[in-house]
Amino acid sequence: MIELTEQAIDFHNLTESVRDNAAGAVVLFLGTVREFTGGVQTAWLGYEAYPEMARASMAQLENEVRAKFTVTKVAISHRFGKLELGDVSVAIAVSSPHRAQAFDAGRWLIDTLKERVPIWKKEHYSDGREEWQHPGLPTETLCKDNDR
Amino acid sequence: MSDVRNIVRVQLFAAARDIAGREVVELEIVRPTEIATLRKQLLEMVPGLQPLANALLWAVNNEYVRDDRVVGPSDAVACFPPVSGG
Repeated sequence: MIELTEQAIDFHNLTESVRDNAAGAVVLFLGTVREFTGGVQTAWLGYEAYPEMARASMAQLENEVRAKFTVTKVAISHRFGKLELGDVSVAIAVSSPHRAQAFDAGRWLIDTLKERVPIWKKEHYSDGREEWQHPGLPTETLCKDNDR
Repeated sequence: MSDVRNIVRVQLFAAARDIAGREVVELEIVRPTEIATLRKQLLEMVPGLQPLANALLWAVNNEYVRDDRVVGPSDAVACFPPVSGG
């Protein structure tokens, strides 16, 4: 199951959706909004997606994880819009006959999602500054919109 | 469109969209054109993107592409900085 949503992620329902009698293990990963990064305080995060490609890209992840690992069911949900501290930004649930494959598949999914799926977060700091998070780009190239 | 010009619409996201001040940039091409050429046209039209130029990713029809990918007016083209979901 693939989902891109502006609503709070129902991770209980997501977890239930991968439960299966063929599985002996279910792993759930939640990404949540952290208050402090390197001593800087986050007030909230804005997530933006390229919706069509993000959905296609997450569906591709599901295909690839099935080719790489022994998984029974997979569910991936990513949220966009305004997220407050502690909110769940992404949830990944994997079931597998055995726990090692479930953990490995879940780890691969979140790592690869972060590298590949076209979704971006913008930090809104408690001091009023805001900053797009674009790994590998120096901060000064990303701050031209701070007065918008 | 009755116009005979060929237009490639490039969707921009995140910092690229903010810097350009618009969600879509229309680039005129005379024949199917490589991404490398579209990149030059985009940077000419939006010089503010220059600091990001080497990091910008390109996608065609929902898949990442390299500079030598050839696109035409019917392709869905997007350009954006490195992703940071999760």
